[in-house]
Amino acid sequence: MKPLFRLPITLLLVASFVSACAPQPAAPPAATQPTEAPKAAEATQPAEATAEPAAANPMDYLNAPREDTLIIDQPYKLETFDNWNPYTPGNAFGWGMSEIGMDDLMYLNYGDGKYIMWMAEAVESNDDATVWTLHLRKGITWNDGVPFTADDIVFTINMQIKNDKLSNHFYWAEWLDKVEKVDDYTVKYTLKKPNVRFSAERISGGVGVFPDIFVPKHIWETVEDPTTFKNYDPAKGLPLGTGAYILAKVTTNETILVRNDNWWGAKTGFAKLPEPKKVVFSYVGTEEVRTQTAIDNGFDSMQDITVGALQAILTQNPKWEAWFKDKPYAVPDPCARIISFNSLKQPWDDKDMRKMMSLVMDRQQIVDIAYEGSTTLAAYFWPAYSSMKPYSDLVDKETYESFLQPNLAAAEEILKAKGYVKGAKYWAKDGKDLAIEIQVPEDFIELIRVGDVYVEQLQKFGINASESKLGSVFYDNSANGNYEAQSNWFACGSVNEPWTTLNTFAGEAAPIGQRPKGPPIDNAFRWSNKQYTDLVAQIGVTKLDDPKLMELTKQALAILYDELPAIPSAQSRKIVPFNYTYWTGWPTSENYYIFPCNWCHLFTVAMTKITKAQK
Amino acid sequence: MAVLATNSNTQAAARRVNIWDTPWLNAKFVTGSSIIVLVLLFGLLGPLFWNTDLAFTASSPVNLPPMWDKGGSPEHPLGTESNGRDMLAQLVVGIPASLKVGLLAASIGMGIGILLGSLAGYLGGWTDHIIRTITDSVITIPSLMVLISIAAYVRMPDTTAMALILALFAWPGPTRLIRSQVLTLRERGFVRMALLSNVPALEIMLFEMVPNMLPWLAASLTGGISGAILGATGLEALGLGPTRVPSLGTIINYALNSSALVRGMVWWWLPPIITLVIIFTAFFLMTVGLDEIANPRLRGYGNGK
Repeated sequence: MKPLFRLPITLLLVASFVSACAPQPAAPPAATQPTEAPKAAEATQPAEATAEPAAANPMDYLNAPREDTLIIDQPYKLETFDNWNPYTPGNAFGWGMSEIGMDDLMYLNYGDGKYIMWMAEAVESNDDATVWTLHLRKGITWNDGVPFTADDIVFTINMQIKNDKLSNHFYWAEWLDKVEKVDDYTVKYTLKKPNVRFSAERISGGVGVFPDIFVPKHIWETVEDPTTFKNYDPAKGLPLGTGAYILAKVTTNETILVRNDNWWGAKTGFAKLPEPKKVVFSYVGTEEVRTQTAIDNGFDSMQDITVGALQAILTQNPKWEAWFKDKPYAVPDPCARIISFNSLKQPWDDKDMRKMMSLVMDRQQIVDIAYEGSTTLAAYFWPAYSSMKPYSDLVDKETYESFLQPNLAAAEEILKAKGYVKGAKYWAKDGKDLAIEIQVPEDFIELIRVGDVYVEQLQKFGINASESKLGSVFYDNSANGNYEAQSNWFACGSVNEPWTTLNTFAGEAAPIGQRPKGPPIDNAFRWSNKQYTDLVAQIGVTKLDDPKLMELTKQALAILYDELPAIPSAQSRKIVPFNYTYWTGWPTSENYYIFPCNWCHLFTVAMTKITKAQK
Repeated sequence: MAVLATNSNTQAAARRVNIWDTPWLNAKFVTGSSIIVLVLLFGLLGPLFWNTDLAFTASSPVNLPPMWDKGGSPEHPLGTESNGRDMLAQLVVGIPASLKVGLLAASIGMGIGILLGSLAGYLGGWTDHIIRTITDSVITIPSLMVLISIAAYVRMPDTTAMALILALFAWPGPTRLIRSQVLTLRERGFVRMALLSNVPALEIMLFEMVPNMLPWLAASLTGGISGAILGATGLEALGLGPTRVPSLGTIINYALNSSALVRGMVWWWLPPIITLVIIFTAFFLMTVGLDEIANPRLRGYGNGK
């Protein structure tokens, strides 16, 4: 019977179609499976293990064996592989260069709140915090051997001041009167107005603030237009940094950096030369594929993953460990999650409507479902760190507690007062259903899941909410005001003081279609309140030990929690497991020497601490 | 009277025999369509027996296995997933959603195909040249690549938008097929007779030719539906589908994003895949069956019933 023979073939065909249309979960790309190539390389580099001589050419490390290689998971695709200009939007700098290819002047350890001096030896200010002096360490060199001096810093800042399309322009334009070289190792910043946090904002590699990435004057002074310069030519050593690693190779889903054995930090004896000879930043696909790759030892360090994925990894490969060995596993992330509203778009220009949106939000359900219980309930715009507690406690207690559970009756009252009538499904006014589109960055699973839960809460309440997952256009929309609401983290900044987060809401609201005049994501909310902005400006000049700081912060918080240009959605957490198969010495809750982010500048510090695992 | 009665009995009996002696009782066609009817019934009648609100996020406890597994609950017979959605409810909502995308996209494609194919085949000349060139060009475009790009930029509140995007590439196949059929039909006697009788061109195309092509059209439509469901599922599995209302591809996407495979949550990713395999097989059987109905030469020995 022919049909009987045909049926299995048909089924096979159909099954192969189905499997062809779904991403293949099990097989990580060959590039992340470094077990084969390294063996051949091992044979060609017999002396490596014993004598550790400096490599004649760092590019030789492209063939480094697996045990000398560090592979870091990237959850997003590399969209623009040839733009390594750190000051233009959509650049690829976060694929290794800002993490391990550059050095910061100093790093903040969230664990003890102290600064780790790096390229800077000391930073000091005059009494009214209008003149800051930076002392550089001696012996720092760019990776092409040219010394890194005060000239590079002065050049970089002046370039940004001259060009309003470069990302830090507006910060400098607002604060800096002039920057001068005193000598090769001393830089003097003269500010237009006092800023007690200048060193924290501009000099340290904290999070949320945007520490400067300096460019080599001897390369960039010949560049005609720094806004269009791609800074990418590996043959000529571009992008050029001072870090222990050099960008060697870029493919569609991978960047490879190799160690510079002549790194200034090791040569001057200031820091240990990092042990990994090759570092790969690799995107392999969905979390499913990432998880399988981790189980197969294809990664040494992962970016944020879900609880389920972590449990799968821990069960199948005991060499992996998270920040805490057991629940809650996660390290609290410094960037609290928020739903931001566009205060220039109706009806979200009305603070009562924004408040109504907050009243509908069931934050405990977000913790239970979106986070599967791996974070704690809190409703702050900053992390619920103990260093922030004095400032968190300034929020009016009753107001704060009203955020911890939904209040649908109060939300209904607001809508009724605004003239909305509940129809069969949705609240409506003038025949139009109340609707809102919440934008989320695609591939950012945590924010998507927060959005999913919130959208359902709104739907159940009677607001026709929808969620749009967007690629890089998400950030353009935020900057240009093309959104109603976004699930994001744009109030991020404060870790041990209140000003940085409060300042993200300060200033003028740029018209829709124009970028806000501030550091990259400042006041993306299109909300403007003069009283608040003035208060924040005062906080900005009040020293941390001044008792006035508390009173001013309290007043600013009262306005913020009343106006709600954004609403806190969740305390974020990061599940960032490390693999101890090839490398040990990773930061953990018991060994908190640096915040464990492999996606930020602080990772440079971790690189100098990790060591090869003993077999 | 008696003779007449006997005659009419015989005729009636003969008619009864003839009722069953029809190519439409093709085994593959009947099997395929029965499966589709069953799947449709599951989706259409399901809401009468199961609460479809459970298909949405945060409506159920998370990560429950099916009821026959340890820790399962009869309240969620097929289990639940990490976002608090009930699997049975997701299938009840997701199956019609996926079928709807397929039907809509394929019908639009077929509609355009009938119009362009008939025009090209019947009118010939420049019209044919232009339509044929455009059709042949569009056929060569790797549609999934373009669809991914489009889907990434178009906001998709529901499955209709997805169907419209898929329809962009669903018409060249039918256009080509119908053009070739019209070319042969154009030379047939009944068409020539209609022409001589001064019947308007459009009427000839729609009322003389199209009914004669019905089996081909149906075969092409079923193939088109299955192709569109495949396309939609691919886009959804990549995360480019509508977010709120579950469809089979969206379930797969969430399962992929939440590591269902490595977490051993078979009840999450397997049901949508099995359902898709059943749907594709059924449409394939229907297409082959219809092809045999339209073309007696394909009915081999022991076949075609």
